[in-house]
Amino acid sequence: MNAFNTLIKRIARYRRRKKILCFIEQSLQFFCFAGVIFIALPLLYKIGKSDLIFRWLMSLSTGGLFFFFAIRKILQPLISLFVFRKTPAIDQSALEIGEKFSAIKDDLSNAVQLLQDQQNRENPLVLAAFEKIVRRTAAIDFCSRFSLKKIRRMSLAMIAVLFTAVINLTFWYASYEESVAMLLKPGNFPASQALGFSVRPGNLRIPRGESLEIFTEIYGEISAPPVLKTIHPEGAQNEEVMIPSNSPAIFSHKMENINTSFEYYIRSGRKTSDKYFIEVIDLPEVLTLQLFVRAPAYANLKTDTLERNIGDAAVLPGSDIDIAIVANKRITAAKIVFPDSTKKDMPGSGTEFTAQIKISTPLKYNIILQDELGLKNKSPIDYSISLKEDQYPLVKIEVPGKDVDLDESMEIPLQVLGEDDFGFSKLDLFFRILKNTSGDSLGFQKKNLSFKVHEGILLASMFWDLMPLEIYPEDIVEYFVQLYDNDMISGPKKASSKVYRLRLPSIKELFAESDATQDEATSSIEELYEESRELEKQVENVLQNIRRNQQLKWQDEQAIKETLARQKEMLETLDEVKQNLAEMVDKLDKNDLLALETLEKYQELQDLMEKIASPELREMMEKLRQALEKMDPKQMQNSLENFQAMQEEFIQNMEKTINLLKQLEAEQKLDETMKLAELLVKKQREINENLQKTKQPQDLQQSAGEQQQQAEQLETVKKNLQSLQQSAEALPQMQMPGEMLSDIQEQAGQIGREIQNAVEQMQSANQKGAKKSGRQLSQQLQQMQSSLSKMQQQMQQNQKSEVLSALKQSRRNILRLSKRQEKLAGQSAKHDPTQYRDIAKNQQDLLSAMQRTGEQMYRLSEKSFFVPPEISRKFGEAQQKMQSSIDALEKNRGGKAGQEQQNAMQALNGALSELQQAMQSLQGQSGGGSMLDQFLQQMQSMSQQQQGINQGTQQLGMQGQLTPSQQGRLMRLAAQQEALRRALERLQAQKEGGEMLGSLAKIAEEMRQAAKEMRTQKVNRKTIERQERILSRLLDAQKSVRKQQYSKKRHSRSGKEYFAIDPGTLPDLSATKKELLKRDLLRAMRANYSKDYKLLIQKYFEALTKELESK
Amino acid sequence: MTAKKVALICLVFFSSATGARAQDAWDRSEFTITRIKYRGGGDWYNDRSIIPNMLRFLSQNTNIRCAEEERYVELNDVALFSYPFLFITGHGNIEFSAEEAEALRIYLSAGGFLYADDDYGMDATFRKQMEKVFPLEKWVELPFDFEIFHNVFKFKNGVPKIHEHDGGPGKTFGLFHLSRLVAIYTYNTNISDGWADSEVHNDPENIREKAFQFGTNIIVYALSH
Repeated sequence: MNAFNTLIKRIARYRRRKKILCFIEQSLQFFCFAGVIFIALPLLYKIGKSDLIFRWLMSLSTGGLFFFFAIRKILQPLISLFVFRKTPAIDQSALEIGEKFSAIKDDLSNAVQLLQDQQNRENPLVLAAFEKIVRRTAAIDFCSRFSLKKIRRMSLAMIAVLFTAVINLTFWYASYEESVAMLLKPGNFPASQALGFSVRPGNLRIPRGESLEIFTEIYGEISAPPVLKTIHPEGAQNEEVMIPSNSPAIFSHKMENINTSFEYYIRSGRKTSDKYFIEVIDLPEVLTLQLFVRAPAYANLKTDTLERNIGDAAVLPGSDIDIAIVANKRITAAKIVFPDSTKKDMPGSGTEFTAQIKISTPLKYNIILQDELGLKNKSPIDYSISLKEDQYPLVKIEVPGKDVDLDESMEIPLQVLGEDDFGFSKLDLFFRILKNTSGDSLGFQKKNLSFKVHEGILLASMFWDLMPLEIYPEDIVEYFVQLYDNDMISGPKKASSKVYRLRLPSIKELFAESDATQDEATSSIEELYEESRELEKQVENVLQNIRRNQQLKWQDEQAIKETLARQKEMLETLDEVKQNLAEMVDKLDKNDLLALETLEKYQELQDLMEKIASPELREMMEKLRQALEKMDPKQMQNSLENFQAMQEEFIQNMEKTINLLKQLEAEQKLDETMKLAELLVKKQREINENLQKTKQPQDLQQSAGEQQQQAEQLETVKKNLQSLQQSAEALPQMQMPGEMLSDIQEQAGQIGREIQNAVEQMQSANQKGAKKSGRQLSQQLQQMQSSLSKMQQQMQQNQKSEVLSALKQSRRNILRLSKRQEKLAGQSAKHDPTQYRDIAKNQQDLLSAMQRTGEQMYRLSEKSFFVPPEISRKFGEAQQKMQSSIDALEKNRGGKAGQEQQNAMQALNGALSELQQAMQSLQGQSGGGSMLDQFLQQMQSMSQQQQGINQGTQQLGMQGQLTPSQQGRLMRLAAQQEALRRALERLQAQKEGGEMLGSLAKIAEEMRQAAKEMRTQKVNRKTIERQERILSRLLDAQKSVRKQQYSKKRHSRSGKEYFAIDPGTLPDLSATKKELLKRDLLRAMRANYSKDYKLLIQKYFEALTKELESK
Repeated sequence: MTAKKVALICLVFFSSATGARAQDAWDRSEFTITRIKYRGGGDWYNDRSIIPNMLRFLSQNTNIRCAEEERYVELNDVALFSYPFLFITGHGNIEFSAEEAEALRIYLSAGGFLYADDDYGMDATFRKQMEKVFPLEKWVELPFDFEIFHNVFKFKNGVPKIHEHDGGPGKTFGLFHLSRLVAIYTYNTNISDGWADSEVHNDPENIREKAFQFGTNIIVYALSH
């Protein structure tokens, strides 16, 4: 049994050895763990020292883990070693040994289990097996298979941990001390601690110039106030600063504008904190930024260099912007960053970088820089590029600028003004014709206009010739202009002007309007005349009252006031009438509806009306008003008498004006009739031409319609002739040749019948008859036109002869009166009172004779424009003086009488002088006057000759094959035409200078051609047209010369009167404001303001426009 | 005596005879025309006879009770608001300070009226100064059917031409503020010269008459709107 015990002991030794090794290994693990915790303590301390909860957690978890591992790794193996020494059981250990030794396996365990049973110890078989096992295991050391590898490894680890811990402890003892203190007394920490500092931010890198606040938390008892000590590399800026306290244990100090790196620490008494380092660095930044804006080519602007460091810009769409920067330090990359995070690299190196961007929409950007350290610029500035609006252009039709009527020239002056900020590309005129007859409107047609641009303002001036548009009377032309700017990026913007209308009035309308104006004028002046008569009576009554009472009563005063007011009103009405007549004449003249003679008579009438409201009358009115103020009966009487004289003259002039106006009305009616006759001739010619071309009988129906219209036109002529007949009877002074007028009326009747005949022929499709009738009509109408012309000439000649004869008679009378007056003055000057009675009687006779002559003159002046009103005034003056001389003679005052007689003679001589001038003027009118008049007369004569040649050529030209006698007649006409040409060339040589020369040369050339065609018997349509052209040019030439003369006269007389153009209606003020705002904006944009100021201006205008729109 | 001294004496005499003249009290129930005494060097005072003559004409031809003499006022004077009708004329430079422009704006906005007559030479400077007063408003040429041409006397052809100046027809411009006509400006005619004593410019009587009539139209319009 010893063997068994020995074996048991050996197994027990194995078990003990194993437990020892396990203990050693576990211990090593524990210490390693403890060592790591120890090493980590400062870190945990730093993390959690300021947080109580963390400190508690740290303390408890660290302590818990420590105890747990101590029990698990140290205590438990020790208990197993010393307390539970017999565990595990021997058979378990035997089994474990058997597993380690393959030779034993579980035999040892089986043997131990068998022998543990006392009964088996007696069994020989068991014993034999046991001995066998003993023998087999005798040589085996059970403990030999224990591995020390783990223990050695753990030992090494523990040594490393221990070493590290020792090192740490050596260097950071204080930290360990504090850490341990924190672990041990987490609740009381740090009161129980020694003095310590927690410094923030510790080591730091900051950009230059920034501020820094250093915080210090102090643990433990503070023995002295903490001080911040800074140490600069240069040493010069080193300083110690007392740190103020924010709370009991926290101190802070703010340092502004830090520009150099420095070291710092905190000191409290002898205790100092660790040293920290603040490194000042330069972040990359944009030192200068410059934008170069290149506007699109259409804007025609130079590259705009913006001010330095101005990154905002307002540019036109399509502009290119170069962005150039200079950085503060060497940088490795520069990028333009847009709000959507897209980036654009800026090429460059060192500190200078440039990039180009194209602007099509508004955008924002900033610039990011990166230096060699990888640092980027802080808070890059956001810039914005806005789009500058290319404004819409403005366009306006300045002239005519309102709806106007077209005149015969079919031409209107057109002036267009436009404005834009950058320029213009095109100006178009749009127009369409609204037909009166059909009411149809054609589509707008376009016409490109040329223009000039000066200082940003577009100006297009032209005379728009509407002749090619074939406008007929009462048609309307609507037109406007459209202006395009030169924006080639967004497309040209356009603006349209207001639409205006042109209307071609019919002759009928013009004449009707003219008749109405004249009737109105006559009626107004007749009313004024009646009113003047009433006023005259009123003045006479007042005068009688004053003479009777020798004082001015209230009623008289009121009557005078009323007289003055009414007189003033009359003058105003007269002004209005004058103005209306002037406008009417101007309109008729522009449409070539007045004969030049009539035109001149109208001018004379204007002069006469001017003289009615004479300055003398106004002066008398003023004196009367002043006398009224002074209430002096004597002065009042005197003023009233003078006023009465002027009033009489006023009335006489009005009477004269009425008569002349009626006469003019009749003469104008004659002009109108002649014009209508001319149109009838022209139209008949067209009808005849159409008849020649007509091949189908049904086409004659259209001609019949036109011929019917001719009949209607002829009816107007007939009415006019009747009216002329009445005028001739009512106004014998017109000297209208009655027989000629009757003949013309008869001609008109024949023409009317012939027209009916022609219409019937046409309606019955009798082409031959219609043609014949048409020719007949053409001749008859031409004859009527010619007769009218002759009648007018005859009438004018009669008028002039009569007036001239009467004037001559008057001149003789006045001369005689003057001589008699001179003689009487001489007698009075002898101062022989015995002669005074005879002299007075003779003077009275002379006065009566003069009154008779004056009466004759007045009657004559009613008939003619050539009797100036000044003559009446002189006669009035002479009459007054003669009366005064008679009064003086009655009082035996010969000297005074002689003086008054001298004055009377002077007045008569003055009248004579006026009369002489009037006669000269009249003689000039009737021929033999100035060179100009002679020239005009010759031209007139040539025109008449040409008219005759034309008629003859036309008649022969329509005959087809000419008979020998007709050929002979044509040759004679050719000779006449040639003679006329030579005459014209002679005239041309006499007349100097001016456009007339060129005009006459052209006429002469046309005459030469016409004569040649006639000589060679090649008369055709062209020849007839050429001759018409010759006649037309001859008439134009006369008209041109006379108009020049007429204009000069008018200009010199009324230099201070201008025809003002009515600006039309008041503009819509809000629209005007908007337009003006826009115009001002355009001007501001063109002005030389800086870009940012322009931006402000634009915003300002936008705000104003919005405000206006909201209103 | 040097030319400078002569000029100085003339200036002192001139200023004492014109600008420095004291104004007598006036009966406020009577209408009068008040000249604007402006700065800038222009002859704000020119021709003393025009306003008394115009007032006389107005008195005789309308029912308006008029004073005999004119008034004058500086724009920064509070008395400005006592006068219903301001008149400005001259040949030279006109200058309104910002305060004066503000005062005139308030005056005109509050119902006052200004009549300006170019005496040849004040056009550019006057327009510029009025831009200070109403930067947003522009002068509008008045059409011939506007009331001012026919409210009392009829002027079918626009403003009468009194003096030639630049030739061509005269023009009448209006300045509308909030749709009310607050100022009238006659240009290239010189209406107020037509109010002067006849011997001053030797204008024909009918021309002077038209000037008075047009003046009457302006005043009647101003007082009734």
